[in-house]
Amino acid sequence: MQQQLLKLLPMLRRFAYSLTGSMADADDLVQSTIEKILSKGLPDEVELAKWAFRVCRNIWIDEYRARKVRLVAAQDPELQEEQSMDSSAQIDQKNTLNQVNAAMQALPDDQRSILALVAVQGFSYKEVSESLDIPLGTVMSRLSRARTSLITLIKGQQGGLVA
Amino acid sequence: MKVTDQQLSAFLDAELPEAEMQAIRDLVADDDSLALRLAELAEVNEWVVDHARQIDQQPVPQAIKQLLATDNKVVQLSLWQKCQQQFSQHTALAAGVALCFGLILGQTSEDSQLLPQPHLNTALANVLDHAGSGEMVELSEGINMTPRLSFVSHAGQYCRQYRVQMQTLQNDSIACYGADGWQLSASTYHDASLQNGEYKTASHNALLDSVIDQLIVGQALNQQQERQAIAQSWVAQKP
Repeated sequence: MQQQLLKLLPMLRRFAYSLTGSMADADDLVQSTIEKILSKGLPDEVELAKWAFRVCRNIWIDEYRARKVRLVAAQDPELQEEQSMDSSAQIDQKNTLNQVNAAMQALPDDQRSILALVAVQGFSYKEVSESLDIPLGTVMSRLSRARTSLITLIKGQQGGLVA
Repeated sequence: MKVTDQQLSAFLDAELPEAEMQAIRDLVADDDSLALRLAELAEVNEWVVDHARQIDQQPVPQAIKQLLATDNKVVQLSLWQKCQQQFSQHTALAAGVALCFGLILGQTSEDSQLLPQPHLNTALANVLDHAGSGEMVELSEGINMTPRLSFVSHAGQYCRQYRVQMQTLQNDSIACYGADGWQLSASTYHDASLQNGEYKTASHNALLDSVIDQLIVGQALNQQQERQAIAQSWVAQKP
């Protein structure tokens, strides 16, 4: 099982980072997820990947979501290390990624999980439905709401920057 | 036909029936505003993927690597047992413990299962017999043992979690008192030197914690209950 989890590790980290918006929290969440899977085992007839994402999302909802302090600190501009060698394109990209991070954090929990599974992991709606135990129609509607919310939030921030 | 964001979103993921996919394809080809909206929805995917991939640049923490390494498991107790048999032949306790740890390192237990319980070494058993939780006992120079928690198991036995600490290695175990004395139920080890400077808030002993969850009935013993158990030599009272 360790070897299978090792293969899943990059995907799990991206998923956890999408959920938490903090690299330290993401790795902490991944560590807790792996520990839980290793100690509790895998239920019968369940795919490890789907199970791992579900465990990760559940631990995040139960334990990590309330921990905003580290995230707030990480977003404090005074704590951000700016590289003086950054080109303007890199700075633009960094700004966009910071905006995406902030917008992701503003999404409701399930919308964020579903968006991360579809966009980042390439899951089909059926796979998301099975992984998160959510009806297929709900996956479709929440994903659409997540996308439109992100557009509104990010375009709003970009408009605010321009104004 | 009015196309909603939900339909466009599902179209983007090719999750609509083929007839509906084709209808929207035709509409997008003729309607610039619809094409623009589709492009905006597609851009969200790029943002989210770019955002998520940032963590790829961050090295995987050592604690996670260690969890997934095949040499970090619940220790095979058969190995521990063999080791303890050799251990008892050594007059110097430190050498024996070092030998055990040396043998255990690098071994694997593919399914992390709990294996049959061996008897506990006399020196370790002696500490469990008499020391209260939190009381550190020096087994030998540089090797300390601390009982950490006592509880009653579903089998009606008293069980104790304890830690044996060496300079760079730490062993955490659970032993339960049965008809043949203290028997090991589970044992984990880790390289204590890897903790230095490592970001780590999640319990590195989750494997052992889950064993306690499976064994324990009610709460852990309080100090008074533990003293009473010590006084009655850990022989559980029949209800």
